[in-house]
Amino acid sequence: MTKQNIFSILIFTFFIFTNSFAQKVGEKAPNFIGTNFEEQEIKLEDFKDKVVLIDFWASWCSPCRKEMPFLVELHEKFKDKNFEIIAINIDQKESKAKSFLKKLETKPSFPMIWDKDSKIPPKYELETMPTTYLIGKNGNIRFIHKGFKDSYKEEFLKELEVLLNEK
Amino acid sequence: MVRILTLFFLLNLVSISTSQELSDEEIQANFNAYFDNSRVGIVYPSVSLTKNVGENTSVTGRYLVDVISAASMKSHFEVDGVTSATSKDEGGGDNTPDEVRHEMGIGVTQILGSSTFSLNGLYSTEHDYTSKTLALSYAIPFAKKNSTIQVGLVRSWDKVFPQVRSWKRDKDVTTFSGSFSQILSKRLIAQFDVWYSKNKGMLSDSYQVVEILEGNSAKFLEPKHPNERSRKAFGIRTNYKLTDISSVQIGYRYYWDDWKVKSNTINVFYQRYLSNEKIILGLGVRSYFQSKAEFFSGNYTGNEEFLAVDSKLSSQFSLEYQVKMILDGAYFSENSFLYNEKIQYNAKFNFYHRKTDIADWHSNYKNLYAYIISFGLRYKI
Amino acid sequence: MKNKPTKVLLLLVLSTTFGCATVQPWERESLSDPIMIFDENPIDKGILEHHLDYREGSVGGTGGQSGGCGCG
Repeated sequence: MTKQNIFSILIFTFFIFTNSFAQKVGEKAPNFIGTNFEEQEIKLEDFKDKVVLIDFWASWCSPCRKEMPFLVELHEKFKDKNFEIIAINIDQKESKAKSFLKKLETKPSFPMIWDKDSKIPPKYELETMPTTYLIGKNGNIRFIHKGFKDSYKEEFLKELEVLLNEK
Repeated sequence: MVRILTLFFLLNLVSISTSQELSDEEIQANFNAYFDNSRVGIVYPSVSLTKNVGENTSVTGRYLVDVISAASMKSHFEVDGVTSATSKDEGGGDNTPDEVRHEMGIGVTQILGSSTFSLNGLYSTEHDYTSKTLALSYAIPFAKKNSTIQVGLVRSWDKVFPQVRSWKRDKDVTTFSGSFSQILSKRLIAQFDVWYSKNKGMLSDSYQVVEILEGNSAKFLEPKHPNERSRKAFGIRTNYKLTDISSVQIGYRYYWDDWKVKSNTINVFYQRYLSNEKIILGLGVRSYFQSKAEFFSGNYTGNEEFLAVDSKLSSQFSLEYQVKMILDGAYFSENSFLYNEKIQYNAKFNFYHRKTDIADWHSNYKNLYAYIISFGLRYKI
Repeated sequence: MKNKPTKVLLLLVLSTTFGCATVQPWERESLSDPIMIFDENPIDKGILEHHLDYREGSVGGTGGQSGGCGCG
């Protein structure tokens, strides 16, 4: 094996290594505990056997702001069908998150964690903001959406149908 | 080896693909005015519209008008025995608009995976000059969008047909640029730029005249610049978040070309939120030092290969101060007609002082003092 | 490895593989602030540079747009 080939393999190994941190589809969703703006505790474990959508968002992130009204809509539509959303806000100032939420036409009625020290995102190793995870009833990550665009809405609906119909 | 590396590079570009975001849709209207101590006044209102067409494409349209009222440079041609040209009927050293320039631009930005392409076309026309420009740029972020590489190519084709001359000439400019942005910490971002431009054709201002004194009489000649110019620059700038409500931008640029013009530019721009983040106040200062073009001189005999009187080519320094204010439409009380959460009001005042080592050929001043005032609004659709 | 294209490609591979991923996407609150974005209003920048182009012998090297939250 020439020196060049060894070098190529080394690069390849590092390439795989550096690209393999993020949580992947099929893996168990890492558990987390956080508190909402009223300091009540919220745990992922508490939503066992439900289809859960986890959304990481911040008021300083423009696509996150666009996604939130859609999540509210989605929740209203499926909340009675064994579905829950946990939104994890990572704003450092509570007032910024609240001022954004105040402007929404329909206020979110799903659990919202205020993770001001960003303790939960490292567990999921997000690659961008927002990132949205759909967790199946068995607690595994089934679908991941990085960023948000209008075309994702239909995908969400289809994926949700699949997950809600699973046992 | 090259093939393997190419493959890894492409694989990496694919693997880092997370969707990109288009910039906000907006309408922008600006009114700008420039005045200086050589009695030049320019007003240049502009409007622009950015609209998304689908979720990965946006289009931008822009229109700008320059209306120049000046102590006319053309007055020199009344005594110009070299050309048989006549000057414009209107204009001159009065307050009637001397020249009107229209500029129209249209651009498309396309998101493709994680990268952004943009293509812009610009057309500018006035009674003695037209310019067409095509600009292409490509940007790709990587390393979780901590780094961004941007490359650009700009090509422009100008036509010069001054009223006081009998000829029509071309000027072609090709520019390549590259920039590398890097997030260095949670509060610091830096950008490194390289720039290269090749200019060909008519590179002097046809309204300028070179005065040659011969005893008690004077002779007036057309300026003669080389018809090629290679221009290079590199720049580095950083932006640092000082506190939760303030930031400071520091930039440096070095420029050099084959006419032997070299320059150093330093600028500092401080921004701070006021009034519960409803107002952004910006204070800036820029200083610029330039050496002269090798053929530029205060006196010519008429036997020189090149003749130039353009102050831009003189050794000089300049200082510019800027005060900028951005007011969020939510700053006003809800009863006010100015209240609108989607609007941003902008106001800007610049004071510019340039000192050349050789007095300007037209105004005879070494010092140029200029004021630029801008008002504008940005409406997020 | 001695020829130029190989070196350039190697540099690109290294930069895209390792990058300088020091700041995570969730740590960009400060960087996403409008006052942290270079040329937040490109039209504004164009207008100012236009006046300098007419009065100084240098152009270019003042950068492309960048910065922001790096949001998806």
